[in-house]
Amino acid sequence: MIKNNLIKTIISRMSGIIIIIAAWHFLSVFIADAFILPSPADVFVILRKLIASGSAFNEFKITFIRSIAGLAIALAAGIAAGVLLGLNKIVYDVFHTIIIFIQSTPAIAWILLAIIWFSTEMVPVYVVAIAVVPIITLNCAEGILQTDRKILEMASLYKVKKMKVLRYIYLPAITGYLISAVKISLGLTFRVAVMAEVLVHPGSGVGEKMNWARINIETGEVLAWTIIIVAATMIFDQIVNLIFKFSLRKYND
Amino acid sequence: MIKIKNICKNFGELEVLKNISLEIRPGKITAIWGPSGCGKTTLFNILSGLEKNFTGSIDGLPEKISYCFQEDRLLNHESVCKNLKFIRDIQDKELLQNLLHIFRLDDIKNKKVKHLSGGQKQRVSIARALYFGSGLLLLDEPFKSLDLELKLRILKDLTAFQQKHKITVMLITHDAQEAYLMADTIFTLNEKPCSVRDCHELKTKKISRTPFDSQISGIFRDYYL
Repeated sequence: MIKNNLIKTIISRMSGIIIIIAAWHFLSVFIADAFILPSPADVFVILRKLIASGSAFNEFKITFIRSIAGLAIALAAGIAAGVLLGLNKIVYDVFHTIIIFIQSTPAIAWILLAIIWFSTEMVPVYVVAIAVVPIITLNCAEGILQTDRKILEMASLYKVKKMKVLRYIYLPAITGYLISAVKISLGLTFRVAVMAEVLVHPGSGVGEKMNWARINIETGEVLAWTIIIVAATMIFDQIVNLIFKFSLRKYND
Repeated sequence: MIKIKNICKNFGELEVLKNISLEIRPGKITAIWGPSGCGKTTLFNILSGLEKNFTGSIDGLPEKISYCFQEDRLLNHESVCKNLKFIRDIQDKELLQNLLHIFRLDDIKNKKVKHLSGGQKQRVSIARALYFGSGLLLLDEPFKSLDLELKLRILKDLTAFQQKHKITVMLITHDAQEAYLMADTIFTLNEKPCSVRDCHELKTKKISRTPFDSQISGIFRDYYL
């Protein structure tokens, strides 16, 4: 039964990819201009070259490190801020507006400011952090706010130490919210990091390579780098799912 | 002696408690019997310090108070043992084992609370309250999820444990049988607003009381007429 379901899931997901490739192929035949839209076959040839030369791995590694650094900063700052917001109503009311302001500001505005404020190397890290912090903060705060008040009352009556309350009451309460926040953030992380690299020319990274391909009107290479980022996002999404599944087995069994 | 004097509590316009005065004897079980929804839990919330907005005075309250709530209020993702240990910084292995045994929790001590039945959860909740080792134990309808046979057995064991450790217990119940079998003193309450109707000191030894004793109808006669 489980095996059948797995096969069904794989088939439906593969069908989605096949539909995209087929549509892309027909569109490229219809346009018939490799500068505007090369065929999937041409792009896969370029992709194979990028992988074989080691360029795909090296450039992605740099983008990955920047993205993960930004995500780590956002997680640390977002969880700390989220706990503070969730625990104190006044802090929540004051900072909620600020966070919504940060969230509503277009990523491009932060990139332009970052170009002025930081070295080009640091811009993608900073932009990823600023884009992800509001998601982590608000989800974490929501988890704290949704914590069962009656359980907290019990802990206060029995004078349970704050660290124990955090570990045994708040942590399980915010875990679900944090998981969905990290999942949303992961896709955003790579997209924003590449966008920042395209705009600031840090000298390396997927975005930098995409920008050079754009300047040279190598549409096939732009698409090949896009495929690399999309594939990486999907793979990391699965890895994160597995990590969460493993670390949360205590709450699920 | 815990002296509760003229406790009044309103929720907006609604008068819930009206001049509640009780004297609670140390080392004894005091049952507070009244109809459902009359304000008994509000009284316990005041005594435990969870409800701070009231008038009147309470003297002689111990610093540590255990409260077995109407709902179990347990950590669902943790084991039975962990739930008991959660409320204490310094663990007492002997007391822990003793309580697990009294409440028939030995076999399920490592089981997660979320997998337990309502009755099992209620037993864990009572055991936790006793494990805290306080000077006053508040029990708010602690046996409501238990079947009659288990209820009578735990009631007997709990009473024996209380007598051995000389714990001061206040029991809220709307079950006349429970109040009669456990208590040394029974306060009966009126409703809307909640006020003390009368007080019965029970002289007969608990061991000689039975669930079908004619004395029950004697004490609660007025309410059933």
